[in-house]
Amino acid sequence: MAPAHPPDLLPALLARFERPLVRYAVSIVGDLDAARDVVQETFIRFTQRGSSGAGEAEGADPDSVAPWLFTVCRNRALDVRRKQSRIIYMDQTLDRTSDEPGPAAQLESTETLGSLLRLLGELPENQREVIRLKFQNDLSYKEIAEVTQLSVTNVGFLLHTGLKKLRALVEAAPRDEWPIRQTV
Amino acid sequence: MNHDDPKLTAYALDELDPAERAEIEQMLAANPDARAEIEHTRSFAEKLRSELRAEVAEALNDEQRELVLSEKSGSVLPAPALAERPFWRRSGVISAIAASIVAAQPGRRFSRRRSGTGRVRWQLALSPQVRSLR
Repeated sequence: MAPAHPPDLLPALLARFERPLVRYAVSIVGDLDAARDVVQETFIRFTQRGSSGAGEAEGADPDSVAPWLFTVCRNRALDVRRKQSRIIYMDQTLDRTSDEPGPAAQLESTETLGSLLRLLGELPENQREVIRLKFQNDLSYKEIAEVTQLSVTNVGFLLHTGLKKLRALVEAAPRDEWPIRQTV
Repeated sequence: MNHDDPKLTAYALDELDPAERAEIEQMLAANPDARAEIEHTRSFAEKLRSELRAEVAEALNDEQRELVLSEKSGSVLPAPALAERPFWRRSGVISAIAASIVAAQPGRRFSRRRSGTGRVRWQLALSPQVRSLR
């Protein structure tokens, strides 16, 4: 069931979650256009479910809607991926970052992010997903459990195992391939 | 104390309830190795958070955003559900057609035929994928 929301919450939700949801959907379907379609449909479902619900909460916090949005986005993205019958992770995200620092800093940041995403890609999909939800989208264990339909204990185990493996991969990576290692 | 415990990671990430937190802190008081492990986890988590949030995050296009906002205002603009999209707009089809045409180029041949009306028709030798879409 979609959470209740005031009628004017949608612009704030778009501003807050549009890009994170597209990025999350891309990590599942591996295609930007398909990811955008998934996110468009997620927001449309939100407006349809929310507007039909009684007792809309005035002044609802956009962050309280995050688990619902990520859950619908995930389910739809998995449907799309099943239809596509292919899993492609978005390599093109590896060569760009959202920040625009100076050229030298940008190059180092891009190399670091690219290396990190490559190492992240070596983890099993369920570990990758909880790591993205936790550290990229700031969801709690409980919220991740809601999105992934796992128990909180299971989420904690996947995050613990995934972090441990990722740390080991970083420590084993050549120093010049991943500058972040120098500070970990 | 077992350092390979998901509870330690949950503690480092501030995910425990007060009772569990107090229990862990009691154990940590006498275990410097476990405290160091938690600090290491926190440090790595911060770097990870910082790096992952720098990953590019594209937005919806203008048309899609307008459509979502029009849904909010009760407009009757049709939502292009994925399953209802024409087959030629579905993900992968366009690239399959393009790839097939490119693949057909080196071996391209044209056959000249006479139709029943006497007009000349040119027929491009298409790859099997493209023929299957016709």
